[in-house]
Amino acid sequence: MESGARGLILTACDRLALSRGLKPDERLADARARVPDLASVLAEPERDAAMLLRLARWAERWSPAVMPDAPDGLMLDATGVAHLFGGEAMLIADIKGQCGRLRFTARAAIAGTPPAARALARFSRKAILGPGSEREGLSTLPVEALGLKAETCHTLARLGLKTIGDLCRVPRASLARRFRSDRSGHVLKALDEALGLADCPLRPLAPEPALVVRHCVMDPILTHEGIEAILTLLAQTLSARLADAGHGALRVELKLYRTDASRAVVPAGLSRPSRDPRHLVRLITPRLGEVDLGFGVDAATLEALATAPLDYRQRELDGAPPAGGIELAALTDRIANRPDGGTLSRFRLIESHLPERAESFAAPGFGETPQAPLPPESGAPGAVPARPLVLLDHPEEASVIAAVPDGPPVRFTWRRLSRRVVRADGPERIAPEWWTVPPGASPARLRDYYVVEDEDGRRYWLFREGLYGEGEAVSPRWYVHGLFA
Amino acid sequence: MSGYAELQVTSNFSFLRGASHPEELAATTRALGLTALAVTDRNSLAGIVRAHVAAKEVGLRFVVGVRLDLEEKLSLLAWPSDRAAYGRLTRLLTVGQRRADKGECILRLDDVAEFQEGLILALIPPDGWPDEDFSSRLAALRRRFDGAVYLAAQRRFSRGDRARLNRLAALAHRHGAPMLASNDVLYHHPARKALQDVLTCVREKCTIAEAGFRLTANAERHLKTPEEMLRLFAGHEDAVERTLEVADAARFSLDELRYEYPEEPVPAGLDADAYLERLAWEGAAGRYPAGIPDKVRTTIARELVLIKKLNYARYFLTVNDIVCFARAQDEPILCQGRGSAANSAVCYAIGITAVDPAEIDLLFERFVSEERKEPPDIDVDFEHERREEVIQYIYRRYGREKAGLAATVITYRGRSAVREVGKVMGLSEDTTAALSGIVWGRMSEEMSETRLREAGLDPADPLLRRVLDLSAEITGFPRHLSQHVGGFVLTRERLDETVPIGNAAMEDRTVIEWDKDDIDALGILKVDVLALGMLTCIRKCFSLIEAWYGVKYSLASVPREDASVYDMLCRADSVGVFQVESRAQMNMLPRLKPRSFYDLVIEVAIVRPGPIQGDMVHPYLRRRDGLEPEDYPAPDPRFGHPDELKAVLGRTKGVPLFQEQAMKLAMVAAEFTPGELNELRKAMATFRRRGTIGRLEDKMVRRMIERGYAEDFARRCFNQIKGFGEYGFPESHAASFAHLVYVSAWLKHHYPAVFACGLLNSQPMGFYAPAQIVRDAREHGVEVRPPDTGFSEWDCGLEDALFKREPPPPAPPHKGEGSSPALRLGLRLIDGLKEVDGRQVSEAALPSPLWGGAGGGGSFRRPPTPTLPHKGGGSNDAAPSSPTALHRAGVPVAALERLAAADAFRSSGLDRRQALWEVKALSKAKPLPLFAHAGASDAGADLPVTLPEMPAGEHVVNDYQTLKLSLKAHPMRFLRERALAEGVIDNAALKSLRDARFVTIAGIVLVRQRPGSAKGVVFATLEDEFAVANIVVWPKVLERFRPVVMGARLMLVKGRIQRAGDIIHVVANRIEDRTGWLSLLMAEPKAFASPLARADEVARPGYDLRQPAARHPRNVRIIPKSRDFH
Repeated sequence: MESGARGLILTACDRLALSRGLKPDERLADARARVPDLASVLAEPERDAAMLLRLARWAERWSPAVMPDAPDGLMLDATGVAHLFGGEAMLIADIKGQCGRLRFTARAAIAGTPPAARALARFSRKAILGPGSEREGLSTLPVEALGLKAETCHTLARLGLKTIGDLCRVPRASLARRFRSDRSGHVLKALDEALGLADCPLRPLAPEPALVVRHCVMDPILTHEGIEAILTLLAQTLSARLADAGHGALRVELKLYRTDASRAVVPAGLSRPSRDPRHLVRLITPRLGEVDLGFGVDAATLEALATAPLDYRQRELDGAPPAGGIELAALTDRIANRPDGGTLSRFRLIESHLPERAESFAAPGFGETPQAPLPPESGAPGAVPARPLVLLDHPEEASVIAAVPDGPPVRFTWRRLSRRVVRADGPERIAPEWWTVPPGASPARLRDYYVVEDEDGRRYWLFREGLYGEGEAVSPRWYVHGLFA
Repeated sequence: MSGYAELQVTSNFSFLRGASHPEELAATTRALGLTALAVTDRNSLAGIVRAHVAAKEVGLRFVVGVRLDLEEKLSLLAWPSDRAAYGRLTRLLTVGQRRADKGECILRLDDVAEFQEGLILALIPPDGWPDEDFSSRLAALRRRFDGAVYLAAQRRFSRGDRARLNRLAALAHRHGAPMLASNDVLYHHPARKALQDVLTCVREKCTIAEAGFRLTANAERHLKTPEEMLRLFAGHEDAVERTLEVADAARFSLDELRYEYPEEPVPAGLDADAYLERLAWEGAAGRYPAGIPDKVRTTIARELVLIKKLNYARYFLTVNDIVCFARAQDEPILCQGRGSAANSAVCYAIGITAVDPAEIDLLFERFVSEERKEPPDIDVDFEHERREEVIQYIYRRYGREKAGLAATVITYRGRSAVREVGKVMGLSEDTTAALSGIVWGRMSEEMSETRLREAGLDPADPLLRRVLDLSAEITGFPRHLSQHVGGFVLTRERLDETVPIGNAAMEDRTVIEWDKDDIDALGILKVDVLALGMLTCIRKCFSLIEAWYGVKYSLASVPREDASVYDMLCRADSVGVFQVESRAQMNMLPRLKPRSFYDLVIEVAIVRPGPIQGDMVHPYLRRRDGLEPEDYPAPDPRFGHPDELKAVLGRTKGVPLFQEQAMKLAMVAAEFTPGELNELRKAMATFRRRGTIGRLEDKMVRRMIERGYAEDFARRCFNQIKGFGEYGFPESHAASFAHLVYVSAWLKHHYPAVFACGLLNSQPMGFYAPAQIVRDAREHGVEVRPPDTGFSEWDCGLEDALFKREPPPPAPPHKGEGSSPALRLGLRLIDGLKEVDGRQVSEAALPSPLWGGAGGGGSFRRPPTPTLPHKGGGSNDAAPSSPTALHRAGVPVAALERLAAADAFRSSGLDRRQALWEVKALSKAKPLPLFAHAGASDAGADLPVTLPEMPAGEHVVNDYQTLKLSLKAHPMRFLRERALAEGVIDNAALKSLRDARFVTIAGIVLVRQRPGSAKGVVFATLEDEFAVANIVVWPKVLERFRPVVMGARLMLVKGRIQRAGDIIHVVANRIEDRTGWLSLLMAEPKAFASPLARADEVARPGYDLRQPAARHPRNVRIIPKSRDFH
C-alpha cells in the first residue's frame, strides 16, 4: 500500500488477498472493513525497481539482451537463443521453472515483436506466436494488451473497438486522425509495433561496468615484493575504472591465484569512498605478509565489491590530498585494516537527559551522525561544566548525609573514604524516560544530581535516586556517578 | 502575609504546549490552597473564559493574563489591572493576529508600548544564564515602560539554579524590576509530564525517541503549594509574597464585561422598543390582511411587554435587519429563523419565521425565561449557495471592530488522537491506521481486545496499550480554533476591546477567540447565520412554479394543513423531503402517521439519538395509538400540584421528547434553581466535566424522592435528561424545521417535476444521490429526459411535456396529474464536465430562453429545433448543438468528449458511440477561422466507418459511468434471466409475500449503513429495475460474509421477509457477491459486422473475462460506489 490523496491505498495484493476479494487501488480502510485481519506493508517502489533490475541481470543467463519492463516485466531478445535451450517451448519452460525456484510466478511468451510477446504473456494463455502471424494471433486479445493507457482503452471500448482485431479493421487514416496525440497514447503506433509494421527495438541493459581488474604473469611470482608491484598496477587500473564510473570503492578484494589452482583472498574496507590507488595499496599491503604464496602466483585480480558515488576532487597545488578530513579517514582506514584490526571505535552523542544514555560507542565508518548538542547550559560563565570529565561506567553506591527532602550532601562515604562537602550545587533533577519503561513495570525513580567539592578541592558528581518522603517502601539511595577533577 | 498566587500558567489553549484543561488547573489551584490563579497562554486569551468560569465554581480568585511572545525574541507576561487595560490588551492581540496568518500572532515591543497603559508586565528570563545582554534588555524595558515591570523567576531544578536565582535577584534590584516567583506551570499534576512530552513531539513533528532535549528534563512544571514555593525560593521569599501584590493589582475580572446590543438597526430619534413595536404591528397587519386574529393580537402585545422588560428589543431588531437585507436583494435570499426566541408571534409578524402562531400554540414564554439572564436565541438559516453574501453584509454593516464570527474549538477525537499519539510513539503508519480504524468516534473504555485482534493487533502489546492510554488522555484537548459555522457576535462598542479578533482560514472572515460556550457564559449576543441546502432548493422551486404556472409562493403562503400532503408522508413517500427522508425517518413516518403540523414537529425531534437512547420512542407511539394510558406521576400533595408534570409533558403524552421538556422536568419535579439548571445544561453538553454529572444526578434524584416521586421514576427521568444532553433537539428548532418539512413535502406532492428539478439543481445536499431523486420522480409520473446538448442547460429544467411550440399559458396550480411538465436533466449531471464548459455549450447550442426562471432557479424551454431526436442516420451538422458546431463555437474537445460519452448528442442524430467517433476526429487545436466553415481538416476527408452498434446493456453501463444513473434501463433488467435461473424474485414482489417467507433477491447496493446505536447490525438497500429492498444483516451473518457485505456492488441475498406494517425488510441468511455479473453487460454480443469478419472468428470466444491480469479498476467499476455510512 502507499499513501495517496485518499489515504492509504493498496498497490498490490497477494493471491490470498485476491481470493478474499481485495483489489489494488482500493483504500486500505475499505479493505480492512471487509477483511479485518489483512496484513499490509508499505510499498517500496524503489526497492521493487531494484529487485527488477537484479532479476534482469539474472535473466541474462538466457539472453545477452534483457530489458526490464517496469513495473513487473522482463523483455528478452530470444533471437538465436532458443536452440541453446532445446527450442522455444523448452526455453519458456526453463524460464518458468527457474523463476518458480525463486518463488516468482512467471508468465512467458515468445513472439516476433516485443509488444506482441508482452501482449501474449499478459493477456493470453498462448505462449508462442510465429513471426508474421501477429495480426492473426493477437486479434482476439483486448486492446489493453497493447499497453495503452487505461483512459485510451476506455475510449476505444466505448467506440466498440475492444479487441486488437477490431482495431485492425478500422481504416488506418481514421484511426490516425482520432488517436494521434500523446494523451491518446499513440494507438496506431502501438498497433504497428505489435504487428511488426513499425520498428520497436529493445533497449537492453548496458553491460555492468566490470570493476574487476586482472593481471597475469608468465612466471609465477614467489616474493611479496613482486605481489606488491602487481598490486600497484592493479590499483592504478581499478582507480581509473572507478573514476570512469564516478565512484569510489568501499570494499575491495585482492585475489591471488596460485599455480596449484588454489587462491588467496585479501579483503579491505574503507570508511568513506576512495579511489586513491596509493591509499588502496597501503590498506592491502600490511596484510600481504600473512599470505602464503605457495608455489607462486601467476594471476591476480583486484575487485571493488562495494562502491559509492564519489565526486572528483582536485588535489592541492602542493600535491597534498584535498582538505576535508580525508587524511583522518585514510588514517582510520589504515588502523582499522591492520592485521590485528577492529580496535577502533568512536563516540556518538545521543540527545538524552540521562547521562549514561547520552553517549555510546560506534564502529568507525559510515552513517556518521551529526553530533548532538549538550543539554542547555544554565550555569554561570566559568562555572563547572554541566557534565563531569569522567563518567563512571556504573554509578557506585555511596552513603550520604544530606538534608531532607532535597538538600545537597553534607558528608559522604565512597570507596571507603569519608569526605566532607564544603561546596555544593544542585539538585539537577532528571526524570526517568517514561517511554523506555514498559507500562505496568515499576517506573524508574527520578534522580537529583549534585556537584560537590570536598575539603581537598576534589569535585564529585553524586545523585540520589528517588525522593525522601515519596511514600515509597524503598528509601532513596545515593550514588557517585562521575568526577570533575 | 503569606501565600502564593501562580501567575504564569500555560493551559492547553496554548496548543501543543500546556497539558491541562483550564478547569483542571482551577480545581487543583484551589485544592493546593493557592490564593489566586492566572492563565497566561501564548498570545491568546482563548482559554480564559473557561478558567474564569471554573475558578468561580470552586471559589478561586482568577487573574486574566497572557504571555506575549514578541518578534524580538522576548517574552513578557501581562495582566490587565482594570477593564480599560483589558480592552487595550485585546486590541493589542487583535493587531498581532490580524497581521498574521490564521492561528499566528506577530507582535513587537513597539506594539506593546502602544497599548501598555494599565498592564502589569513581567519579563521572562531566558532558560540559560541571564547574561549582560539580558541585563541591558531589562534595563531598556524598564526605561521604556513607566508602569509596573517585574522580573519573573522560576526554579527549574536544573544545574546552577541557585546561582541563577541570585543573579536574577541582583539584576532585579539593579534595574528596579522586582523579582516575582512563578513556576511556569505546564500541567496541574506531575503525572501529566508524559502527555506534555507527547504534545511537544507533536509540535516538533518528531517521535518520542528522537525528541531528546526538546523534552523537559523533569516533571517539575506543575502547580505547587505556597509552602513548597517558599522552600524553593528560600532566601528570596519576598519574590513569592510579591505574587499576592500583583494578583491584587491585576483586579480585572471577566464579570466586568457588560454586554451591549448594537445600536445600528434603530433609526435615529426612535427608541428600540417603540421601533420594534411599530414594526411588529405593521408586519402583523401585512400577515393578516383580513385583520389580525384576537389570539395573535394578545400574544403580540404580551410578547412585546416581555421583550421590553428583558430589554431584548435591539436583539430582535438586529436579526430583523439581517433578514431584511436578505429579502431586499434583487433576487431575494430565502431565509427562516429558528431557536428559542424565533418561535414568537413577533418574529412571525416581522417576518423572521414563517410558523404561524395562529395555527400552533408556541408560547414565547416557554422558550425565553425571565429568570435566565441569557440572551435569547435566534438562528437564521439562509440558502446555502448565497449565505456568504449575508456574512459580508454583516461585516460591512457593523464593521470588523464590532462584528466577528465565533470560534469553534476543534479538539482531539478518538481517531485524530490515536493517529498523533501513534506517530509520536513510533508506531508504523499502517499500525496507526489500523488502530485508528477501530476507534469509532468517541473513544470508549470497552475498546475491547476482540476489536484489537480483529484489526490484526496484539492487545497485550504494552506499546499499543500506552498509545491507547495516552490517546484517551489527549482526547478532548483543543488542537486549534476554527470558525463557527455561522455564529456572529455583534457589539455596540468595539468588539476588539472585549475579545481578540483574528483571521480565519477563509478569506474575508474574521473570528474571535471564544467559542459558543464562552460567549454564553459571558452573556454576549450571538446571531447564527447558517446555511441550509433545502432553502436553496425551495427557492428554486418557487421560482420555477412562478415562471411555469404563474403562481407566486413564499414560505408563509404555502397552503397549510393539506391532507393529501400528510397522506403522502404517512406512506413514507418522502425521498427528498427535508429531514424526514432518511431510512430511520421513513420507518417512523407510517408508525407516527403525522396528520397535523405539530405531528411533524414531533417527527423531526423523535428520530434523534436523544429520544432513541432514552427509550422514549416506543412509549410515545404506544400512547399515541392508545395502547397505553398517559400517566403523570404526581408529587406528594404537600409539595406540589398533582398536575405539575402534565403541564410540562402534556403536549407529548407524558413522554419528554424535547430538550426544553427535559430541562423543565428538572425545574419542576426536582425544583432546580436557574443556576443549577444552567449547571446541568453545561454538564450535559460537555463530557469534559465527568465529575459534575454524577453529583447532579444524586441531587436531582434525591430531591424528587423528597418530593414524593418514586426513585425508579426519578432515575429514569435523569437518564432521559442525560440522553438529551448531547443529542437533544429543542422544540423551537423542531418547529421551524417542521415547517420546511411541510413546505418541501407540499412541493413534492403537488409539483413533483419542479421539486426534483430544484433538488437536482441544489446538489450536493440531502441524503440521496441524483440517481435516487430521478428514480423517485419517475415513480411519481414525471417524465425525465436525458441531458442533451440540444435541450439541456447547465441546470436541470422543465420542458413542455408535448414539445409544444407555444409557451404554456399561465395556469392555476393543478394537482400533479395531467399535463405535468417533463424534467430535462442538466449538463451538471455529467461526470467531470466543468461548469464553464457546460454553460458555454448551452449558450452556443440554445437560443436565449423565451422566458424562464429568473437566474439559477432552473428554467424551461421549448426545443430549439423542430427535429425530434432520431436514431441512426448521419450527423446533423447544421444543428448548433452538433459536435462540430460546438467545436467551432470554441467548446474544448475534452468537454465534447465528456458530452459524447454521456450520450448527450442524440438530438444531433448521434448516439454515444457515433458522437464519440466524431468528437475524436476533431482537432484539439482551436479551428482556424479560415477553415472553420470549409469543413475540411488537415487530415483530409474522413472515411466513413461503420461501428458496431452499442448493445443496450452497455449503454446502460456507460450511462452509469458518466451520469451515475441511466434513464434507459436498470442494469438488473439485462441480468434478470440469469437471476431467474438462480431463483431470484424481483423486489417489487416482496410486497405481496407473507411474513417470514424465505426469498432470494438481488440488486445494486445503494447504501450501506452501520449505525453506532444498532450494535453491529448493517443495513443495506438493494435496487433492481422494479423497486428498492431493505436488507438487515445481523452481526453473526456479517462475520461470515463480511467481505461481500462491505464490498459487493451487486449483491444476491437469501433470507427471510420481516414485515412490520408497511415496512418490509429481508433479514439476510446468506449473501453472495455478484459484482462480476456487471462486466457481462460490457461484452459485445457479436463481433464486428464487417466484410473482413470470418466465420471462425465469430465462433471464437472473446477474450477471457476471468483473466485477472492488468485490468484497470476503472473499467471494472461499472456502477458508482454505494454511499456508506458508518
